[in-house]
Amino acid sequence: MAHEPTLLELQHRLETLFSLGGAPGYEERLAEAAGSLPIHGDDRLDAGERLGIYTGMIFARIRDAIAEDFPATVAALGEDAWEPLLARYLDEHPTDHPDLRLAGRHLPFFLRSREPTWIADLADLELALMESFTAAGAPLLTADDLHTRAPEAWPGLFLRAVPSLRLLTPGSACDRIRHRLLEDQSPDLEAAAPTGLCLWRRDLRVFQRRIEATELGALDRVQTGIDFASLCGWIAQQGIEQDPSAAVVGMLQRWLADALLAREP
Amino acid sequence: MRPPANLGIGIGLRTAHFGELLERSARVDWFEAVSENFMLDGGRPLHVLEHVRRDFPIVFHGVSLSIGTTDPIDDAYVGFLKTLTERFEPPWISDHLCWTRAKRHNLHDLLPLPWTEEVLAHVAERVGRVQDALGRRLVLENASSYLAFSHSTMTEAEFLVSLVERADCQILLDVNNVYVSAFNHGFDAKAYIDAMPADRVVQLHLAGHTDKGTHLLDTHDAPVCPEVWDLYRHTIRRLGPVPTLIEWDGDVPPLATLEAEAARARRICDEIARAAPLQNGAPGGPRTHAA
Repeated sequence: MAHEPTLLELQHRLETLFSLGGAPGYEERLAEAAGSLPIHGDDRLDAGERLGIYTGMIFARIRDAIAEDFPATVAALGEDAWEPLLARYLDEHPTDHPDLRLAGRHLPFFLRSREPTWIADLADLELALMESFTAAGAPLLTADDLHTRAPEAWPGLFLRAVPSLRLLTPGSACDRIRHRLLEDQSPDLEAAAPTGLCLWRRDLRVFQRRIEATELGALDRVQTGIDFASLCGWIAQQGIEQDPSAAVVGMLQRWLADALLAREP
Repeated sequence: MRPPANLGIGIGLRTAHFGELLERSARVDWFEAVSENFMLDGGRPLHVLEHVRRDFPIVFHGVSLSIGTTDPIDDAYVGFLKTLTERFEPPWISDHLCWTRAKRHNLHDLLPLPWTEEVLAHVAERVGRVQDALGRRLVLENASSYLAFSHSTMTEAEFLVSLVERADCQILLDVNNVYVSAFNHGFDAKAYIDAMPADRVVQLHLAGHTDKGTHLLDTHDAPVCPEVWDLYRHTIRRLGPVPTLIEWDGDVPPLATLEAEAARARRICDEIARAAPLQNGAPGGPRTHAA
């Protein structure tokens, strides 16, 4: 750079160089770029090596943060594949949020087109766990709230889910696979059939359970917000063997016990 | 705004200690919470923060304000910070004299600035806008650095002193960072400390670092080293018993280890207060800070 760079010019050039971490041969590119930047070098560290300290730290910090939140996904990918894949991920999805915790939020989408379904499912599950952990709280709907409700008021009862509820429809048994990976066992991809998953937070802990298709569909509607009569109508259309009203009451009891329903504001 | 009292010696609020802090009270005077870790809608981190706040003052310390970037100020981020401060009423809030973002890409590191008039004007103007948005003064920390720019026209200490005067903000003086940067760039750490205006320094940081042979790395994963304790003694003699925070972010040890480091800092402050009047006529004993 022939002239002294403005702050804007300098930061834009450095942003490019500091984003190279994990890319093949990035040290050579830094050494080459350093000659045209106004950076002091000395006999301990030349300018390129000084740039490299930052480039390495930035990549390592983001790598470690994502690995902490996606431990099973990273284990599934394997150490050798993880860093090159992460470099490509960060190239496509640069960290655009001040919260480092959110650096991996595009990882499920990124992996969906590149890796086997069960690995992208793992990333979906681990993102859902993280989101549920820090979702807003809400006053819970309780059985006592419903017991005091007049029979004629039931059809209009508006059902809403707690904000921490996450519903997943993976194409693999990613919950079982995750458990095995975190126990340092092989994933055993044939061990269990895929099933819907429901995650939520109660008393500061995140819970998850497997969920069959009708209940998942019902909870999906509750998550959007639906009244009791409309939910009964939807259940009736699902062709289940059980009486629709009894099925809804059964689900409602389970949801109350699990603390999945929020009280109307 | 009423000046806050001297807070004493604190430690960083870290996830590794959440369980223990819910079980027992800590033997420290205050906590520092990383702002971004609590910009959440709910869950355990905010629950722990509320629990700790019942018994201790909490100061917020940010890493992503990016006061030195040429990107626009992140109004959503500043809004989150304002919400946090209204909820938890910290005596002050701090961030770093650095940039962390460019082209809307958050690099999540504390990146160095050239110390020039152009940058001074730029940063001072942004500090003013953030202070207006928050309705309070901002406290800025000297960051550790590993590279320096050849077109700088002043030293980092000169820049910081000019900035706080021009923008009417305050200083979080990280004693370990002064030591690390002094080694990495070959300047005199004590001269840096001596250049700081006592009436602007509202907090000190102490932390461990790693010797990489060619440079020191600000890793916050080890005890404070003897040389930094010596520099801390010099700082306290020069500035008075400024509220001090022990930082430990990597390989976080049990809470008791942090409490022991805090107790050591407290003993140093007490010894110096008893020993002699402070240099430059600064009075001994507890001090207050204009907020």
